[in-house]
Amino acid sequence: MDTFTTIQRLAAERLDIPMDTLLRARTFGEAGIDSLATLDLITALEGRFGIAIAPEDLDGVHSLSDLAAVVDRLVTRASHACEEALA
Amino acid sequence: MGVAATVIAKAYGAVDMAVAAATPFAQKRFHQGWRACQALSGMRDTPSGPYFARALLASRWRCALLLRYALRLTRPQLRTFLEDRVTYEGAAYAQHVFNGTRPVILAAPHYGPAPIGFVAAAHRMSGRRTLNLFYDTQHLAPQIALLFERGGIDATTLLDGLPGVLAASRALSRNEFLVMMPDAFDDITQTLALPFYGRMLRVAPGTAFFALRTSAWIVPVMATPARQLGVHVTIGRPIDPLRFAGLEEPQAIFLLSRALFTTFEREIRRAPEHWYNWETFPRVSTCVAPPGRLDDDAPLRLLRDKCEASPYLLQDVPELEILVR
Repeated sequence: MDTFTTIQRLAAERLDIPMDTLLRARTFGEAGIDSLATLDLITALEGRFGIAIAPEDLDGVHSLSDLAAVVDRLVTRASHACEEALA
Repeated sequence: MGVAATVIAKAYGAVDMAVAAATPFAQKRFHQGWRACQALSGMRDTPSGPYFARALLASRWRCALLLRYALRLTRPQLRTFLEDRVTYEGAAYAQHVFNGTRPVILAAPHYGPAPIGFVAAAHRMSGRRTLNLFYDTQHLAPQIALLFERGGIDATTLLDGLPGVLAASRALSRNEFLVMMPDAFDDITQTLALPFYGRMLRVAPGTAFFALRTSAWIVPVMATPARQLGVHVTIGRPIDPLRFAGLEEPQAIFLLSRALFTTFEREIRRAPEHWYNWETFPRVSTCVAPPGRLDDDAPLRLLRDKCEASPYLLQDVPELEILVR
C-alpha cells in the first residue's frame, strides 16, 4: 500500500470521514479536515511511520497528497540517515 | 523615566487628550465609530449612539498613539513605562499559574492596546519569558517583535496555517507560553457558536482545543488605554481545562470556550469601545429567539435540562439549583 492510500485510510478511520469524500477532495478544506483535525492526523502519521514532522515541513501543504509527499521525503531521509549510521 | 521619554510622553499625552476631545468632528468616512454604530443599528443589547461612536474612534486613536509611543522607548525606558504607567488588576489570581510548570495560553480578544497588554503580562511573569504568538508576519510582526524584544521577552512569531498550528502545539508541549486571540473571524472554516452579547457568536475552537490537549491554563488578558498615556491591564482568573477533562472532547471544547468568552464579555461590557470587532459582529453572529412570556416555564425547563447535562454548571452557580428545583 502506498503512502497516500495509507494516509487516506488513516484519515477516514481517525477523523470519521467517508472514503469517497477523501478520494474526491483536492484540499483539506474540501475533505472537511480543519487544521486541528490535521494535527491529529500528523500525530498518527508520526507514530505510524516513525518520523518526526517539523512545522517547517508543512509549509505549502494543502492536501492529503501534499502530506503524503512530505511523509515520503521524511521516510527516505530517515532511512538514508539509518544506512549512513550503519555503514 | 528619562527626560526625553518624559517629554515624549507628555507630548503624546497632549495629542491623546486633543484627539479624544476632537473626534466628534471627524468626517464620517473616517469615522470607524460611526460605521460600527451603523452595522449595529437595530440590534438588541449592543452599544450604539453618538456617544459610543465617539468613544470608539477615540479608543482607536489612543491605542495607536500608545503603540507608537511604546515602540519609541528604549529597553530601560520600556521597563520603567511598564512599572510606572501600567496598572494591573487581578494579577494575583494568575501568579501561581505563571510560577507553575504547566503551559499557559494568554488569551485576549482584539481589544485595546493588546500587544502592550501581552508585554505587560509577560513582565509580571517570573522566570518564564518565552512567548509564542500568531501575528501577521507581513505587516505587524516586525514592530511587535521589536516591542517584545525591548520588553526583554523571547518572542517567537508562528507562521499562519498548518505549520503554525503544529508549532503552537509543540510549544505548549514544551511548557511554553502561547498568545492567542480567539475572536479572529477572517479565516475560520470550523467554528462553534457561543452566547455572546445576547447573540450566538461563531468562534474558532483552537484555544480550547490546545488547552485540552496540552493541559495548558488559559489566562484571559485584556488591556485598556488609561489617562495620560497609561495602560490598565486586567488579568482574568485562570481557566483550568482539567475541569472538563472527563467530558467528551466536543462538549469540553464548547464549555471551555464558553467560559473564556464569558470572561471576555464581562470585560468588554465594562468598556465596549475598545473592542475592534463591532463592525464584524453582526455578520459573524446570529440572533437568538426573544424571551417568552413570564408565565411560560419553557426557559426554566430548558435550564433544568442544561443543568442535568452539565453538572459543572451547578457547581459554578449553586443558585441555579433553587431556580430549577
